[in-house]
Amino acid sequence: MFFNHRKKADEELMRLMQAGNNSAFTELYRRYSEKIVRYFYRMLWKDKAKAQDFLHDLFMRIIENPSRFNAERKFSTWLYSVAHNMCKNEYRRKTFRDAVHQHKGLDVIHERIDEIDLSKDEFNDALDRAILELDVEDKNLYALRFELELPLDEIALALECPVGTVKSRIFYLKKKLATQLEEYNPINETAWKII
Amino acid sequence: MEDHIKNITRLERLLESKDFDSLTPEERQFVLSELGSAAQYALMKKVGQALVSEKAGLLPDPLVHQKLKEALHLQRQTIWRRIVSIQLPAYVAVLLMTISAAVMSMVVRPSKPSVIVSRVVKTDTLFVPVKPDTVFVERVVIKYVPAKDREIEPYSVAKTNFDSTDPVVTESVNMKEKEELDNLLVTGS
Repeated sequence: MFFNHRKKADEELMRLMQAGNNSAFTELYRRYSEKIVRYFYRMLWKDKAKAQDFLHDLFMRIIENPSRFNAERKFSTWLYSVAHNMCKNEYRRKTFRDAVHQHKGLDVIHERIDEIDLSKDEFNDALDRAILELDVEDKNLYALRFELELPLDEIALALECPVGTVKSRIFYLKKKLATQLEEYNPINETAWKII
Repeated sequence: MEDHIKNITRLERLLESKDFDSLTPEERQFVLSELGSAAQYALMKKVGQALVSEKAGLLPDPLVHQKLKEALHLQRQTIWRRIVSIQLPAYVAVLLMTISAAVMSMVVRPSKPSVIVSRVVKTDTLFVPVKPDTVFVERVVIKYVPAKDREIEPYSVAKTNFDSTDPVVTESVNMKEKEELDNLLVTGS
C-alpha cells in the first residue's frame, strides 16, 4: 500500500490523509521533509535546531488541521507558503527580541558565525554572511531558487507573482550579493573599462 | 517591461554559459550596457555559480518523524475517547452540565401551544326489548320445617273473634249481574 502511494500526486495524498490514511502522510513527509528542513535552515540564520523544530511544527499543522489545504492549489506551493509565513512570524519575533535586548543593553549578534563552515574559502564564507543578512523576502527567494531548486513557474505560484517578476527579482538578488562581495572581484576591473 | 525581462533573461543565459572573454562584440556591448563593467560580469558569474553549489547538507532528524507519527496516531483516536480522557475541574464540569441541561430543556420545550384535535363520534344505540319467556307472577316458597321443631298445640279451638270495629264487607249484586248469572245457570252458556 505504501509503495502504491509513490505514484500518487501530492494533492491525492493530501486527500487520502484527510480521509485518515496515515501512510499517505508518511509519503508526503518523505517527499518534502528534506527540502523543507533545508529551507528552514537557510531562512532561520542557519540554526539547525530551529530548522528541525520548524519542520516538526509545519507538519504538525498539517496533521492537526489538514482541511486548511485548499485542494485547488498545488500542494508544494501551499506548503512553501505556509513555511514562508512561519519564517516571517519568526523574523517579527526576532526583531522584537532584539529590540528588548538592545533596550536592556545586551549585545545582539545577528550572524551565526559559528555555523559558517570554516573549511570553505573566504569567498564562500562572505557569501554565506551576505545571504544571512538578506531580508526575509530575498532570503525566501534565494531558498526557493537555489536551496530547493524550484522551477521559476513554481516559485511564481508560491510567491503569487508573474514568472517575469521572479526572473527579475532573482537577477537583482544576484546583483545585490555581487555588490556586497565586490572585494572578491576575480579580475582586475580596470582592464575591462569601457573607453 | 517586456524588454527589461528579455534583457535579464539574455543576461542570465550569458552568465550561465560564457566567460566575458568568450562573448562576441555585440554580446560584450550588451553586457557592458547592462552591468557597467566586465568585473561586475565576472563577479556576478562567480556569485551565480557559488549560489548553485551552495547547499545546506542538513537532513531531517529521525526523531521529528517519530514524534509526528505519534501525533498522527493520537489525532486518529476517536473523538469520544478524547472527550473521555479530558480532565476538567469540577466547577467546569458543573457549568457544562448546567448549560447542557438548559439547552436540552429549551430544545425539549414545545415552542407552540399544543393543538387538541377532537373528533365527535355519534353512536346510535338500539335498544331491543326482550320479553322474558317465563313470567313469575308470584313465587311460592315452601319451607319445610321439621316436626320436632314445631310446637304442636295439643288442642286448639278455633275462635272467631268478631271485631265490631272491622267494617263488614258485603258484596252486593246488582240486577244486571243477577240476570247474567241466571242466564248462566239456566242455559249453561
